[in-house]
Amino acid sequence: MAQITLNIFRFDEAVDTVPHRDAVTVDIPETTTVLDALETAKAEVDGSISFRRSCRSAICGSCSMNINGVTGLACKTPCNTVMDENGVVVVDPMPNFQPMKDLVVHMDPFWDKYSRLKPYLQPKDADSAHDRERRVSPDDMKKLVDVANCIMCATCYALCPVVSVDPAFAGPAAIAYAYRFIEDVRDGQRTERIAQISEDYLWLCAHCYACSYCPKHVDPNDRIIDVKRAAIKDRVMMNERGPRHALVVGKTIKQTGMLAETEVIQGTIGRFNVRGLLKVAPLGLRMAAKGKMPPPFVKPIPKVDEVRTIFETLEVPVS
Amino acid sequence: MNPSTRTLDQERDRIGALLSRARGTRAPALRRAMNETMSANTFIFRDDDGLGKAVDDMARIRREFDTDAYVMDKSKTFNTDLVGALETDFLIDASLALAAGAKARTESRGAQARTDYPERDDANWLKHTLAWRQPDGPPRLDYSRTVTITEFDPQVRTY
Repeated sequence: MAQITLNIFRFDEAVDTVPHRDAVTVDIPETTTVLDALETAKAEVDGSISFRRSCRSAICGSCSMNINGVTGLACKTPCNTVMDENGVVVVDPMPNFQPMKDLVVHMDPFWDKYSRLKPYLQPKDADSAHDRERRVSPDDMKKLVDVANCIMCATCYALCPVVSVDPAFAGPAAIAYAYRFIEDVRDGQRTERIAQISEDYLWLCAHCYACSYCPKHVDPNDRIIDVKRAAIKDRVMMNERGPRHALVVGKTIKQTGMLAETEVIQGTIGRFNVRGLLKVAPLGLRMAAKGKMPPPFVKPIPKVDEVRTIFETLEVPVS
Repeated sequence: MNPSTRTLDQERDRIGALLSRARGTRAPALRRAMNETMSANTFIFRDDDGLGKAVDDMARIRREFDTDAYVMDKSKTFNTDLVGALETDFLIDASLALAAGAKARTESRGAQARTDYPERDDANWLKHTLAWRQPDGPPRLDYSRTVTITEFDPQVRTY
């Protein structure tokens, strides 16, 4: 048995304006999970410590919280993997959410972004058109299996730096789950779904991989890339910055073998988009002042033919 | 049908007592005591002595909860201490009814495997147990009329 100390964020939205912290020490084996440590602290020391939990086996998604600065499931985190040399574990509510009571947060924005997906099958045709269940081949089903493992714990959403600067961003979980229906062969709303998630700022994703901390290995980032690919393939909202940028980056690399930054900026904003170009002009002047202005024309590299062959073989969209 | 005023008052007093008591016994301690007696005495193999102990222990835990149970968290925001205490309250009722019904059923049937009555007794026990909560002690037991066998005959529980 070991002396484990939980350094806990305490706050009650009904009575507090600022939070405080409590250090609670319990005598438990050091392999105990952070969740079990919290349950022991609540049962033996302070009954008012509040947290969500249910299955204690990493399948319900209730106990996501910030442990030593990183969001994860408390039931899946043994104390001895996170405690410091004094046996102290720091516990906070998930970031990117408004705190309610200790480790419990208001989850509504997360659910709202989910329900906007219409996260249920909208079949191509009526059930009566089939004399038996709709069949999906194993290959088609494989695409959906990883995403279907999502337990909606919101760990990815809590870790997402784009959500933290722009709460209108749909977030990794919602975009990944949009993919689950976009690629479902039985669904008849592919175009509408791609349009909906594009309007919820799909293209703000910065691909930073923070969401790779998903405790169920859903890998939202890879699914977000797949949704962006589907958007370009289906030519949804092609005049927006996101798709324009993706295409022009590919185009300059195919043309010259290099990323031609000046052309990328024009291609993203729009060559004749005077207002847009004027907005980035100050940035351009600051770069020039520091000697970091990219060259206006980029000469193709010697083996540019090989680059073009790669792009053509892979059928990379460039416009 | 609306709950009567008396029922609502009883509920308000029951929950209010948990919130207003300043000291006493906390629900997790009573829950652990319940775990221990139910695991030891009403688990896979049961006998009259063990079941008797379970009934006595659960009746004692029931009394202690009624007189002493309190919560540390007095907040009205997401009060899991209170919800946990209410769940323990219901678990105590269920456990007491289970133990009393098992002790009275002098046969083995389905999940009830009694070492002192290892066989089924279809002549006397083809009936459901009904239990009424009493203000003190174990529930009052009664039985349904004899069960009508339609499609599935009672079988020995083997695999």
